[in-house]
Amino acid sequence: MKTRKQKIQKAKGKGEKARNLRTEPKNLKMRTGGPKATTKISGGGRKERVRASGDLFGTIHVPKDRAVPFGAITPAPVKQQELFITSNWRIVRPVIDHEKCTRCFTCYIVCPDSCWSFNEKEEKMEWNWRFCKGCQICINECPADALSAVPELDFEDGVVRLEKPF
Amino acid sequence: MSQEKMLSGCAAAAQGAKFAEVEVICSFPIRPYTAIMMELARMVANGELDAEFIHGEGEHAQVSVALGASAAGARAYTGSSGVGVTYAFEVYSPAAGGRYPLQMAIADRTLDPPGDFGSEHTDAMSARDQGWLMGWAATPQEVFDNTLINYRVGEDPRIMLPQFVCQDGYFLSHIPDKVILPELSQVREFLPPYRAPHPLSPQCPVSHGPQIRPDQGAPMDAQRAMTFLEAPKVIKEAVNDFNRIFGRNYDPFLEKYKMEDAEIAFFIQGAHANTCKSAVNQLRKQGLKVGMVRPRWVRPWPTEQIAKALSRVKAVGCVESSTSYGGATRGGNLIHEVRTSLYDLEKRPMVTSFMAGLGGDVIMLEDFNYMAKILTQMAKDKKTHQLVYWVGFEDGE
Repeated sequence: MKTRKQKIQKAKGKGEKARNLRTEPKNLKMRTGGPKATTKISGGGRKERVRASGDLFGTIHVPKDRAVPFGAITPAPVKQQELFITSNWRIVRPVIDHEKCTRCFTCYIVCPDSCWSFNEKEEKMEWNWRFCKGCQICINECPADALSAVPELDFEDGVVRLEKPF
Repeated sequence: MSQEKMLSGCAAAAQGAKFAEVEVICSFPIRPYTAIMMELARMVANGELDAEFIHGEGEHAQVSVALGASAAGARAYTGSSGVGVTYAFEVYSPAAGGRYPLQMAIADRTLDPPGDFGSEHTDAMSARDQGWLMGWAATPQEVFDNTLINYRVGEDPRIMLPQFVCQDGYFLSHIPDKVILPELSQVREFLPPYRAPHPLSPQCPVSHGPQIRPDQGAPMDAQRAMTFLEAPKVIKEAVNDFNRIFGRNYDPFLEKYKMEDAEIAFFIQGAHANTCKSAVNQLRKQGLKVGMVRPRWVRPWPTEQIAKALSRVKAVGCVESSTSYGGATRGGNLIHEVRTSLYDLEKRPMVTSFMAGLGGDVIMLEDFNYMAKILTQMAKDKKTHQLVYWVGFEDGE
């Protein structure tokens, strides 16, 4: 059995660094394309068996039109689903100061709703208003102090101003 | 060279995880299972085991971390005891429904009120219907072996389910016994590396645990149910392979002790079976034809095997070690399953349950003598006088 120390030394020998998400954001690949979004579970990779039987226990048979993929694992819907916009209970929103931002990706890692992504063209972090609930974890965790909490009332499109939020 | 060591149940479980070459471990302290994590932490610290050792912020987090690790394709290991087992409850069904073959070691502990740390099976038994494989060991050696067997069965592509590997707190978790540790090459022959069918990966993005529609829920349930129809076959294969590779002699489903000519039988799970066997020996010296059956699996429940093993006895006593307050017999959980298993026999034995080994109580020889007396009377009268006996708390005992 190889110890971790040995593995790290081996990796160093090859001129590689041990993988560390916090210090090496370049290793993170953002998703930019992929299969179309799907609301119906279908076409999972592994086909789950549809029939099984045990002597005493009869036979279970899932009809074709009700079949679901193994463990309900499906290709990820890369498209954002308009049906699932869930930001209408936001009281404050994180506002980024791009001058202060060091692109450390801490917000990307800590956001429970994956609302921060990296715009590779413009080389800056992008905030997703559709799913941000205003929990402020990114604001608290930002090591560069680049994020601040601004009340929704301060924005013309603030969710509190919407008559029928989404 | 395999070697022999004196190990407690906890140390044996840790060794099992080490030999299974687990990749992610998530811990949170609660006794008695904590000793497993202490052992594993030591192994990771001194380089004996190459694994990510993550400190969870609670048992719910523990199982969630293990679930995530398993989803990413790692062999994951966690564990708990007592109220820790119940605190993690929410994650049990998703772990089984998403088909993550992580393993959770449980060293039983009584659930609160307040703070009894003795052994009782109620903690794990409460989670028996969540779609996990589950079974109790009776010796540290069996704890070690079950750790490997459960990974093998759980990770089988036909099964893909998480596993509870249970042992009695203290009676088993903290009392050392001889354990044969095999060669790593033997373990590798028995247990191939875990391959997740659709691991989480940035290269091939997949959704795990998506929102599904109500009409997709029933087929999901059916998937899991089908897996349990397959499981006995897979368990049989795995245990036969285990016996061949490691030179053991396990029955895949039941341990039967002196059942050949038995007229009355104890049905008991876990380490109390060791005392029970001594009791059987003593009672046989007094001329009583008594035997013992110990299930090695609670899920899948070995219905057919139990019906066969108990078909010729006259009276069966389920020694419970777990509570089912207000249940059909006002006793424990085992009797529900045992009686159901025996119901379709032409000549079915009478079955009662004995509440013993609760809250950390030791089941003494005289307790078994008392139970045997009741079972003998039942066999003689051909009548189940009571559905449950609270051993040590009955009138006129």
